[in-house]
Amino acid sequence: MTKSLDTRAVMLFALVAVLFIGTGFVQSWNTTLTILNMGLISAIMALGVNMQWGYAGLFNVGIMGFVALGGLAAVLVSMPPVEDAWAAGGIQVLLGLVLGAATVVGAILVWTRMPAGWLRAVLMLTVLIGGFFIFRAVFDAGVAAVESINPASTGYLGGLGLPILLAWPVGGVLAAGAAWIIGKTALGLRSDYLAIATLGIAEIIIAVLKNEDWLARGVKNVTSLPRPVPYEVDLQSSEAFLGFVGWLGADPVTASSVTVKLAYAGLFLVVLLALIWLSEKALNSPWGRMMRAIRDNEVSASAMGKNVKARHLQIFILGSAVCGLAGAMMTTLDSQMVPGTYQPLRFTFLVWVMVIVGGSGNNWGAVLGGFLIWWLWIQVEPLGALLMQGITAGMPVDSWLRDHLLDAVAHMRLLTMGMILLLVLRFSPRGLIPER
Amino acid sequence: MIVVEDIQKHFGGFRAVDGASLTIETGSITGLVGPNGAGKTTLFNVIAGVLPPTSGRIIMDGEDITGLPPHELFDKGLLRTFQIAHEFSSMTCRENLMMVPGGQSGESLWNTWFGRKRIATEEAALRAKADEVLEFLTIEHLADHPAGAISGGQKKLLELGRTMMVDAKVVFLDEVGAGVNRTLLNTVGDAILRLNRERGYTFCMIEHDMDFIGRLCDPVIVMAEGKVLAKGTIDEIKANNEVIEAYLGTGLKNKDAVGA
Repeated sequence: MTKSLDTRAVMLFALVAVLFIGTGFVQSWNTTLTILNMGLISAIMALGVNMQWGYAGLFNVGIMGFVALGGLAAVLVSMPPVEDAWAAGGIQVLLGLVLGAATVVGAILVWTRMPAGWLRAVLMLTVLIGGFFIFRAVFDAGVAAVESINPASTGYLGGLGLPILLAWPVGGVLAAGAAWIIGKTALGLRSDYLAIATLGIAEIIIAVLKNEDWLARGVKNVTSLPRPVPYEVDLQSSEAFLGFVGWLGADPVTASSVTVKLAYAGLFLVVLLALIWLSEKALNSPWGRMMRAIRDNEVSASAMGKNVKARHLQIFILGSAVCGLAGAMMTTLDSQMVPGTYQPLRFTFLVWVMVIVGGSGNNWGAVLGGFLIWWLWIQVEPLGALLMQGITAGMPVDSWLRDHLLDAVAHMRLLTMGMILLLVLRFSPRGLIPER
Repeated sequence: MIVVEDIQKHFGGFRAVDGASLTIETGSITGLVGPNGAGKTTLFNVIAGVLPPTSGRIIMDGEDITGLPPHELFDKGLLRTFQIAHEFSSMTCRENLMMVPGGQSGESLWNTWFGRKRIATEEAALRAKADEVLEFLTIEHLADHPAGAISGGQKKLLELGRTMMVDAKVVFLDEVGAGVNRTLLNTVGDAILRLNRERGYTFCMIEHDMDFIGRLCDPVIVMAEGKVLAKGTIDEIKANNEVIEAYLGTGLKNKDAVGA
């Protein structure tokens, strides 16, 4: 297909395919498809991070935040609006947000338009402090009204009630917006400040999602998001489906579950293939060459006429948008938005492991890393238990070592991830499918 | 013509450039010499937009270009090479050259997806031009080597080659000859003379090799302790007492040795 996909890469992809197919035979096809669906989403996240790190050398440690924004988009687009909440305080909440934004804009205007001096400082502080109290007065009353409407099942404004597939691009746009704000402030500084900024803002995004109940119910979670694919129960009661399953000779319950998962996999695969095509074309072009030049030597690229800051902003926004898109897809797959499940270990560290193990700078490497690492992340638990049972099989039942080893199964996951990372960095430091 | 007006560049209390004023005439090959620590490279960095000056102005063809970022200076035709080679190490030598010209249609993401034909035409022309430059610099055999793996002298040639990929007005060369062997140095010298005569490049070069300067540069500007000390032909400079003192100190007035 392209020069970056050689025999070695094909072999590695075949190996990953064997892992997934093997899971189907040994465990169940349902399990395989569950892992595969999240693997597809992981591959997309890895593609996004690879754009930032692999192409441009930008160190984003706030992937979790962009993924969560995608999840928020899924809620805001697909859930039906809560009419009573809108009537009670919806407009007031929006008005409060507008007033808050107006306060910031007003303060900026005072600072930029007025001549320097103590009068400007005093006026700006007055605008900020006064604006803050007005904002809180309007906003808080609105929020209290919204959250008091049937808090056990709603207590938030709901969404737009649109098809959830629309949420995928919207998730990308939300993440892109956040990336624009971060990039504008942090990209001009030394690269470690970008790491600090992304790390902090990801935590802020999660904190907002957990605490602003009017937005997406906070830790009360939003469940039963509408699906882009049919429900299992509907399939099981459909004559056509039952006829088809009967002709196959399969169990209708399992078949309906597998069908739903296959439908998701199809949707995700379309997105993944489109993104691979777009990023491969971009990377193997003068644009990709310019990006590599900037990554190799910013000073020199700038002296050769390339606008380093603008290009960094561009790729940072694009990579974050891809992570946001993947986040919206993940929330769609889960059918629920649970802010408490966003952990840096799972959504930042693990995606980084995927990119590094797969091969940063290479789109196929990142995709491979996404599938492989996700499969391991899930399968290490049963494999670890199996391993420990094998080791302890001959030991006396009351042996302390046996107890200790069996207890250690729970920690196998992190240990294995660390081991894989170390082994790859030692024996193939540029990843399983290196840049070139 | 580039006019540098009373440039100061301070790092804390240290005055790296302390009121330097000089003029680089259009079409000249101006040499910039001086003992180590005279402020030559700092002045280059200020002119090239890498460091903002503490005070002073830089005028290029009547336009104030003080403090413009390097990529905007590039668009105005002001290019530079680096004292320590700044190659793009993971890219091949050919790619190092092909990336230089600005405004390539393939630098727009949209075109990389939906304007492949135009990119292919442009790339073919760029490739031919890059190969021509590599041949001119006698390093065509390195075209497909990663630039990080070639020798220091060859990297210097590659840097000079980058300035040949576009129609530059003024090129600042920071010790382009350092670490380059005699034979190669003559090639570099020929290249600079040809670019100057055939393509009208104006050069300003920092250099320590007096023979090399003598062959190429007129006039030569001497800097010491952040100031411009003298300006003249190479012979005038060699005979200038102040210059000799700046290089050797007042205690060592061994004029015969220096003049030789």
